[in-house]
Amino acid sequence: MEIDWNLFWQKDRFTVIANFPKALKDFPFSHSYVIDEKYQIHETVKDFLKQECHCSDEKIISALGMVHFSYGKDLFLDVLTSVETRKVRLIFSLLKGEKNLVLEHFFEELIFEEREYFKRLFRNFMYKKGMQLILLENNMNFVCETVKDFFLYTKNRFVHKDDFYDEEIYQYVEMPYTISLVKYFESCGHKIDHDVTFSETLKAIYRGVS
Amino acid sequence: MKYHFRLENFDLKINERVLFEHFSMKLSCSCVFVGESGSGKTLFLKTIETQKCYDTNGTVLFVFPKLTSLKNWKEELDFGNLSPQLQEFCIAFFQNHQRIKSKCDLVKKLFQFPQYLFCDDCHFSLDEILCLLSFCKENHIILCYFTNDIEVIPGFPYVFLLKYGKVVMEGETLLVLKEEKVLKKLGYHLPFYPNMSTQLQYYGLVKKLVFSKEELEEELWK
Repeated sequence: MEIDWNLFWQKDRFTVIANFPKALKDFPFSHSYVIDEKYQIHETVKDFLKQECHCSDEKIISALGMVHFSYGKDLFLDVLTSVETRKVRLIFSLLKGEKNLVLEHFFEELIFEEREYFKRLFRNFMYKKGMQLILLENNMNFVCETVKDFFLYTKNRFVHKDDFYDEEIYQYVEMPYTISLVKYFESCGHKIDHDVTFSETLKAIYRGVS
Repeated sequence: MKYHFRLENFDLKINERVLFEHFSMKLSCSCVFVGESGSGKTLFLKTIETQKCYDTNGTVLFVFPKLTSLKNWKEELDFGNLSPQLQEFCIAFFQNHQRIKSKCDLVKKLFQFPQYLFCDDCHFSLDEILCLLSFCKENHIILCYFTNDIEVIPGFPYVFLLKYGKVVMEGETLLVLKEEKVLKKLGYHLPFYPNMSTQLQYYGLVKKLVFSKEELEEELWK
């Protein structure tokens, strides 16, 4: 599948694409082909990055610290978890000097603290380094807390969506808790404003009840 | 017959990183281990499976999800030959057409009716977990589920929380979820419904922690 990512780059804000198929190998960001081949080789993270990116030990250690993976420098590539592999791919792309990244399900399996940390880190990349980021994400709880609009990938096309209450979306991805809760309250006959994020929904419920 | 499962003074290290140190547990009900990626969940399961370092008089099975895809779960599970009770469970459990391969792997082990079933993260939703737990309860199976998804906690009666390569918190689910500040310090947030009800308690709209939208509706408009 050929995709022209240039259509989606946006300055100073994330572009999110939901329901995009996983494990494509031709992303500008992931360079998964490089790491997947290297998986066959019993090599440490530090040695791999040193060879591929031609960087000093200090730079690699600092980059690993930035993605909260300092403990991983001496781990072998073939024992990394999926989250750790994504972190190594990210460092790989950053050390290679890539400016535009497509992050494939990067936030999946991260705990709350790490999700918030990486959102802040990526926003810094955008605002301070002029980088542009596309997030491929299926977790709509994350999406609705992060952006106001997104693209839904369906039937080989990208459909722009800015209404999280649009039923069509949930034929393809799971409904976020906030939307599900408001819809449930409505089905019980209560009127609640159609808000999207957790804090907005909390206030909407407060208004609806009182 | 009364079954027991005990693990005592279990140690696990990888590259000098201590993941578990003198860890002991007794299983008397289903439980969930929640930990971030790299906290040693899978390694823990694989180690206790291979080393059999536990003491039990029951059957213990392990499930590790694979990333392969599968479309037809009915064919895979020979659905037509299952008893009506098992068919009913399958229909409910496979309602959502995602994670079918993991579900099939799990169901195959489940239908062997072990006393203890250890399951590595299959990324099940809370509804799927509730369906699974209800089946386990009816059939006296103790499920021990490992995940990084805090949202599934409310389904389980008992929780172990992993952080910095250690079990940092464990206890009955309700008691753990009441420790909002401690959970935050550990990098976790409360699951959605307990979180929403906790916040609504600050507004004086709700009096207790709730685990579902139905309970929340009842609390708000009773």
